[in-house]
Amino acid sequence: MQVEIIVADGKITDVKALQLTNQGGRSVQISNYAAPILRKEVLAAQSAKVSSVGGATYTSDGYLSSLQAALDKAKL
Amino acid sequence: MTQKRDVFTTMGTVASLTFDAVGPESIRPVQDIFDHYDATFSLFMPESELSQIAAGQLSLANASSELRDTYAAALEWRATTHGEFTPHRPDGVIDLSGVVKAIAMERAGAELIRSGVTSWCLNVGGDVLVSGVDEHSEPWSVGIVDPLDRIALLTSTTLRGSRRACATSGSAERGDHIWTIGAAPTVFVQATVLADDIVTADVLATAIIAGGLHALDQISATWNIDAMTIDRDGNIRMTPEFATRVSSDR
Repeated sequence: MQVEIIVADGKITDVKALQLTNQGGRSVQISNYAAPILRKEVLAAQSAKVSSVGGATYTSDGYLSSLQAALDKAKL
Repeated sequence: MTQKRDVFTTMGTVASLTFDAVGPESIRPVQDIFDHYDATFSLFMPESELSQIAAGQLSLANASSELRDTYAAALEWRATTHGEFTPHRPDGVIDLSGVVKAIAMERAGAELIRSGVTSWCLNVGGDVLVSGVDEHSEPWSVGIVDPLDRIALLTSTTLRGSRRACATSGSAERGDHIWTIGAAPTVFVQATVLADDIVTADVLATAIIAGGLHALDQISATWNIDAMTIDRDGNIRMTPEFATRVSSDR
């Protein structure tokens, strides 16, 4: 996979995935590409501010120690 | 508007329902829907219809139309995901848990709307389906668990407009039924998909875990969804709209 980065003022502002087409090797942008994101850019959520918690399916036992259980306990 | 919250056990996990306080006194009809699907499709209940098929006591031809329709829907998902989602366990047993929970959630949501509840948030085992707004009249916000630290949130996203559903699959908890094709190791430890319905979100999140990076690119490009994945090293990927929903929360 080829990736094109857009740089403005020395910072990466966008990352686009490119795919070679069969038309003379021209590249096109893949729509809705899931681009790498830096962890520090997304570390912003506080559990007290969300209505619900999404995650891999837990069992009834797993629920007891889950964030969703803590949230339910606080709001029940 | 003031909202109530009810918690109940179903399908081997726990459901949490938040809804407008003007709603019905009892959420029994919602629980009944889950109980019905559990009683029909659970492989943990020996007397369920699907368990009887697994045991060879009942043939598909003699099964209920509901069971056959659900199996047909699961097979369609297998075809559209090129086998990355499959209703067949490696031992050949038909396991419909990959679609049944989500189908029950959609039906429960329809029941809430029918009974006049316009704003609600239904979380079943970490998959979330919403309607309307929260108690502050804001779009529902869903925190996404950090698979490397399950008591911390990695980020949060908002469900608004037609994006009503948020499903997460992964290997961080037991209970996900994901069978990868061949012996290829799973690249992603967690995949979250936002979609307009919870069945699509749930199936495609499972398919991304099973199919890895190629499936992520393929599914993101083909389907009307937003996606976020985390790999074993903690690296995060997001489709553009998913990233927008995250940044708008800050």
